Amino acid sequence: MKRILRRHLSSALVVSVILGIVFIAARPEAEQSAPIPESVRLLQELDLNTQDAFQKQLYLDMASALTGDSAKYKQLWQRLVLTETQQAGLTKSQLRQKMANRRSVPVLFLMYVKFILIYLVVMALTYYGVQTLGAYLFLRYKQQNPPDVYRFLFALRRLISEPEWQTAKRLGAIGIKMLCKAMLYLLLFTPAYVIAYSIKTDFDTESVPFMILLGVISNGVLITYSNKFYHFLLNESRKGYVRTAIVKNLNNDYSICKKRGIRWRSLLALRKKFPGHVLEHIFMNARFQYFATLKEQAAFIITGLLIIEMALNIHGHLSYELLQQLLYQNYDLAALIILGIFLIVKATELVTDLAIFKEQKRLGSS
Amino acid sequence: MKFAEQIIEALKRHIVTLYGKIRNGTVRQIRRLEFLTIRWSRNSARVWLIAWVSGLFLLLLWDFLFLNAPERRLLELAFVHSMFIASLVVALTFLLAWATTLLFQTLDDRGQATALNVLIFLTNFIRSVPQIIGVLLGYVWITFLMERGSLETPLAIMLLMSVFLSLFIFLEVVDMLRERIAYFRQLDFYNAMRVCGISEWRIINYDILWKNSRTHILNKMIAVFSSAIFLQCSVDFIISVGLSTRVSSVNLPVTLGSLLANIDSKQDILAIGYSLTHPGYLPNLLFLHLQGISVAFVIVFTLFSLFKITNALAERFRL
Repeated sequence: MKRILRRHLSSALVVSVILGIVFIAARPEAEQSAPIPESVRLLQELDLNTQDAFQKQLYLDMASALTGDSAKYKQLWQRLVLTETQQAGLTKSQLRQKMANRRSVPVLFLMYVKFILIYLVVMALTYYGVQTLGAYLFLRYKQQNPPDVYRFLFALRRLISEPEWQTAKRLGAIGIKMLCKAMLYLLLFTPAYVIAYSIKTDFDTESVPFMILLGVISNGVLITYSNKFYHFLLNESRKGYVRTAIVKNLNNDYSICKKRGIRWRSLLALRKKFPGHVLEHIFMNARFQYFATLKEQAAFIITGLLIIEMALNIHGHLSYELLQQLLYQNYDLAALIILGIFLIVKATELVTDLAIFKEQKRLGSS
Repeated sequence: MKFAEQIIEALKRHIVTLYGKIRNGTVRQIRRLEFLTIRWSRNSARVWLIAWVSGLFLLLLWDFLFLNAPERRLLELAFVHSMFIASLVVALTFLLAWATTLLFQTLDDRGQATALNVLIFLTNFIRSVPQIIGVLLGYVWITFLMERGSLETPLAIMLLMSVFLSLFIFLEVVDMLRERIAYFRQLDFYNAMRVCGISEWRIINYDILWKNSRTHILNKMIAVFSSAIFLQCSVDFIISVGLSTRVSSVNLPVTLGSLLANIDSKQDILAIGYSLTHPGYLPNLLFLHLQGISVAFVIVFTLFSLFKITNALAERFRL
């Protein structure tokens, strides 16, 4: 356990130090980040050439003659020279944009908290969705039903040879099912920005619940990890202990909603339990393997959320700000946001590793 | 009159016979299709590959008939660029993963703990950076080089894009390769071969990776191709807002993602939502909004087909 903690914390510390240095080094000078004083701004509007000695002398003479306080105006001139030197590398409009797009650290922190909350909800929903969908796919596989296309063709053949209303209805039902399945599959693989743009006119695509929904169903997150879980279940079901359990008369009826089979309630439950069924053991072992992929899944979910926020230009969200800070070359703030995101991934990795360690200890294999 | 009735009767008989023949023929064809469906379901990786290529070919044909020439050429160019980058990513990922795996093995065998820890730290660091952030930072660097004028040719830009993409994907392959090597090293054949004097290099590269893990590697590479397309499209779409005030996605080689971010394509995608509430408008999507619909279809259909191919391979070879 100490080793796990040391590994993750040292990594987080090193990256924090590096990005912290970037944050400090890339931070604009205090004078530059602070708003330009009104007096200097007015002086800038006169479009004076600070390099011209004649203009400088004329300015100082006028200040002395009109106000009698030459020291104050000399200081103001020096400030003007400093400001213009700082702005030398940037055009006026670029600087204005750069400064206007800077966000204070507390504002970024609030965005960060919002991002974490959204991430946690998406993670929890995906965790549940992956196990439910994966188990459902596994049950469908075990039921050994013929492919839908085959069933459709079979019903069509029967309808042609013996036209009956019942057969036509069955054919229609299979056709609709196939269509819905194809649409659902395409939806699960569609990148979030395509879904969001296609329904932008009818829904508020910038709301948090919509973002959560997109985070769960789009970008292939749910289907990819459900499929992984399904393969864990499949590999587990081929192991010797499962065959032994079946030989010893443990229930292995994989039909859904039958007396001896699996109930919908068990399948859809938050904590899935299948007492007296061989699936209980297959599921427990597959879930243990799935824990290890949670780290990868976390990074994938974060990638998905970043894509959603950036691609949809959702103002006031962390990823949109990251893109804006990169665009206006505020690299200090960009480094700070990246550090925050890195720490979320690291925290997830740490929690996952600790959970695996705990589970291994419980099973006595540590 | 009787003659006319006879003709009608004969005609009726003829029609009934013809109908029967057509019906029997159709039933025979459907039965054949049923047989083929069962056969295809046993070898669905090849079927999905054919379906993917045929789907793209049909789309090309449709666009040839109904999409105007400049937009079609742009779409073709975007498709070629995207596929080229994804293919480069696959090649680079494999090389990078293979080299890293061998480095891991060498350091482990020689007991160089410090170097091994540094390598583990570096790989863990890359793993903890969400892919999109890493690739986005890579694109920032590309735009910086473009601003300075050090990167001008589209080929060089695409090469650099694929380098950044593969840098954040290759670890998936490293994990798989290391897992395979670790599994086979536990088996007796490894020790037996070592006793016979066969070099470790040959056992790992030829006997473990080539002879016993080819299918795994192929399957993983297809998944990498899919990831590369998804990431590339997403980043290109995102940077449509621009990563620099002087360099924008317009200056980068056109890809499916950047074409989708194009204002015309966005309008086409918006039309999907409109047709959901106004179903009568649905046919127009296939004729008036072809650019955006085609790009979205290529991306989604490619990801879906590649998923089906990897899934079929995994089931067939029990990967």
